[in-house]
Amino acid sequence: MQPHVLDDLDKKILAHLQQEGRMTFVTLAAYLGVSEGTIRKRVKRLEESGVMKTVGVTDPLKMGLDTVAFIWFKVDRHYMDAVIAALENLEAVRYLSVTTGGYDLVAMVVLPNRNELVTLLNDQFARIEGIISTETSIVLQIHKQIYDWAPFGHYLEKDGVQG
Amino acid sequence: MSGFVLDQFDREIISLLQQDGRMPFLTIANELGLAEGTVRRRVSKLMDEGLLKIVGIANPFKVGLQTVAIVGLKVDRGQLQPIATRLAELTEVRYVALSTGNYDLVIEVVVGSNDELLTFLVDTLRDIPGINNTGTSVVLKVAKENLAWEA
Repeated sequence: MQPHVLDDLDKKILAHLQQEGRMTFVTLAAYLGVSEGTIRKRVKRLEESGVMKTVGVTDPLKMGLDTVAFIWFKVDRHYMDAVIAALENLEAVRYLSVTTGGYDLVAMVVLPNRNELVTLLNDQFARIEGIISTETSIVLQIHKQIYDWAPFGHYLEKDGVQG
Repeated sequence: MSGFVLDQFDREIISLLQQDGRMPFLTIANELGLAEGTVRRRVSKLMDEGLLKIVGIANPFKVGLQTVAIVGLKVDRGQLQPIATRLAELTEVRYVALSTGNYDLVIEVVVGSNDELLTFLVDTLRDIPGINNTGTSVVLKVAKENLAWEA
C-alpha cells in the first residue's frame, strides 16, 4: 500500500486534532498561520483519503458494557474470506484484524455481560464454518487506550501552543 | 469510579458523536429535540467525567506506521501492575489491557517498520523485568474497526 504523503501542514493539523477533535477551523488556522479555508480543505482531504477521522470514543467498561475480550482464531485457509465476512457482520466484533503468528485472526469483542460472551463463543462462532479453534482473553481493566499514536506530537511544540 | 449515570440523551449524543466527532451541537440538538446549550453542557460534562473523548484518529498504515502488532504477555504475578504501568508509558504502545486467559496483558504496538517491532520485542521488553513470555500477532490487515461502543 502506498502511504499517503503528508506535508508539514497536514501533520500539524493532525497533531492538533488528535489532542482536541473539535478544535474549530478558525482556531486551528490562527495557530498555524494559514486561512480557515485552507484548513477546511486539508481536513476534508485527510478525511476523504482515509488518513484521519474524527470520532467520539468511550471506555466500554465505563459505558455499562461489562465484557471486553480479545479472541484469537485459527482458521481453515479455505474458509478465510468467509470467516472474515461472517465475523465482520457480528455487532459484538468491534475490531478484527488478519495476522501472522500463532493465530490467523484477532478480534476484540464488546458485550453487555458474560452470558452474551458464552452465547457468542458457543452458538454464533460454532455456526461459522472454518473456525478451527479460538483462544479468549477477557479484559479485566483497560490500562491505556490512546488514539494519537501517530508521531506528530512534536509538531505541536513548534507552534508554541499553550496548555 | 464516579457515580455518574448516563441517561438516554447522553447515550444518543455519544452515539451521534461516535459517527462524526465534529457534528455541530446545533445539528445534534435538532436531531434529539434539545436546546443547543443543553447538548453543549452534556458533552462537556461527559468529557469532564472521562466518559467521552473526541479525537482525530489517524490510520497508522496511511501515515507511515507500517507495523501494527497485538502482543500477549505472561508476566510474574506480583509484577502485573508495575509492568502495565511501564508499558503504558511507552509511546509505541497504544493500548494496554489486563486480561484473563492465556495472557495476563494484551497490548497493541504501532511502529514504523518490522525492524522497529523487532527492537521493541527484543530490547524494549527485555528491559522490563518480570515478562516471561510473549505471543506476537503482526497485523496484516484491519478488516473491521468500530470504535462506537454503545451500551
